[in-house]
Amino acid sequence: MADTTDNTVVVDKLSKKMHYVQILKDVSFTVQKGRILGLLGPNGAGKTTTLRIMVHLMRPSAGSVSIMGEDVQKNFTQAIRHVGAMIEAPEFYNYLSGFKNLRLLADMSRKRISDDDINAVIKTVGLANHGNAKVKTYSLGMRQRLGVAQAILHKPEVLLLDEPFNGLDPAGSHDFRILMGQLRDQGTSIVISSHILSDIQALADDLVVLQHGEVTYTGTMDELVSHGTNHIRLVTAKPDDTVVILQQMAAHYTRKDDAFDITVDTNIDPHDYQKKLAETLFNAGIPVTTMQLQQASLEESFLALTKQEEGDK
Amino acid sequence: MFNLYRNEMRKLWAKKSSWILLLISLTLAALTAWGMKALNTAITSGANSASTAGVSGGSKAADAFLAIFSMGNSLVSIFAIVITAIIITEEFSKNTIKILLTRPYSRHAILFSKFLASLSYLLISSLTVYVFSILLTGAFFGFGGLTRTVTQGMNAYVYGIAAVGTAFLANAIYLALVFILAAGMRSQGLAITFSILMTFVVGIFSELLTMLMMTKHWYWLKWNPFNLLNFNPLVKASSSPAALSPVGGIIGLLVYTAIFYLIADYIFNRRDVSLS
Repeated sequence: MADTTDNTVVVDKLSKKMHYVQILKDVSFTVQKGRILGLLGPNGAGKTTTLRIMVHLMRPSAGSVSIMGEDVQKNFTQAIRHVGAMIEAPEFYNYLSGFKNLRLLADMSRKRISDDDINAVIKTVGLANHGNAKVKTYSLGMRQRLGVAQAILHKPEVLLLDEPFNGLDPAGSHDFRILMGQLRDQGTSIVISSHILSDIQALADDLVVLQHGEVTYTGTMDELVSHGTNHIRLVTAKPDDTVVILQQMAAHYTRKDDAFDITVDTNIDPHDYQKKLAETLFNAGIPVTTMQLQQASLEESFLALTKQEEGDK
Repeated sequence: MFNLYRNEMRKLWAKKSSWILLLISLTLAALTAWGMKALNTAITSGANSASTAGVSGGSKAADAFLAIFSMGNSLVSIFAIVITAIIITEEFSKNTIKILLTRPYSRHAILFSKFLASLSYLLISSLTVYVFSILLTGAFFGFGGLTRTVTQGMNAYVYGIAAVGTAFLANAIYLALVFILAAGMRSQGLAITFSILMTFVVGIFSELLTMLMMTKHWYWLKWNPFNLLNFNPLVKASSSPAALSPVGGIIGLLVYTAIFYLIADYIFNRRDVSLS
């Protein structure tokens, strides 16, 4: 973990109540310089509300957001200078071209952005042949690209992107991932909320999982994956003797002929468990034909985590 | 701040509706000019200049200007109200408010730039109708008569400018009221409907309060905002205690415009941009 002085975004005990409904409760996390944070959670978990409060589109009932050391609520104009944001589906002035939309927004950035700079960004997001077309002729994917363009136009230190993969085709998603990687390498801090877990898995360094408006997980990607259910596929030369060993170890397993599918509890390190199993079988004189650890994907881990939280409620 | 205002003006004039509404006003003025010319020709040829010679060519031009200008200007305030309602609510209904409010400008500055753009539309429309009315009058009746006095010692040129200024001040209050409605609404259609309805309701209230003002103890009601909406410094004030002096009326209009605008600003600043 980097030093806390590297924190570019600090979300501190954010709460939001609307019409007597608690939307967010004590949401806290930090984003570090040059890292990508994935904001995960099922629909209605509070991801978009969190992002909206982060850019002051909504006021929190309690808590604060600080960006580059500036409090968003108290010193909005200073804080937001450092931010590029795309919240929900990107919307533009349909009666203007993509270029003219970006020109309007560039003139509001308090930085000098030339027409050449705008054209360069349009090219970066893959809209080079459509910059002069009116936005009303754009497809959802093109709007999404333009949304990313307006967010990175003024080279912000912090990027907040809400479901940026929506509407992007596979090539578009690939280009987007490369672009985000480049921006991270340049030191940009990025927050991406997405329900497409595989895209988050390919991009994020750190994760925050929200559920029912509360943070249920904060940590790295690897740590979350370890929350998932892992399996060990085992084939031995003496399956009946293996059953005895597995029963002694109180393992959860299914058997098909000489093959076993062993479920490793989420609170046990799967590598340690695999090592212990191998030693036990070896000591019992059972020859192992195959022993393969099948680790949970992010999706499985995420589902395990959210189901566990549901059960705790 | 200037960047924000320039952006609002760019957006305003990039929309077809802004041009169409202005064109309707100009068309109305042109039709009035054409109608007056046709009527004048019919009267002149019918009477064969027997007894109509008493109306000089100069006064014909001045009268024609007054008619053309007031007809062309009649819809300008309503159209400015419509444009004002759109200028805010469209940002919410089309969700473009998100990209606007996540820039390094306060909501106060963003709203004020929109108010300036609305006032600019009103002023530009009125001045365009004024210039167009002069050109139409000149084309149909000759320019010579426009220098003659039309009212209170003012010739047509001066009267037109004074009328534009007076209407601007009175309509600024309406625009500020529309801002209050629009700042709290999401629906463009509702905001336009309520805004236009408001102009009629205000008229009715104004009539009721005017009756009260005529009584001895209620003359101070002349300072109510509805009465100020009817204020016209181009019409000579009566000696009644309920009458407003030109300076008093103008100050009153400015004060109420500021009050209504500040209410709109408060609503706009407190508003959460909630989920679509």
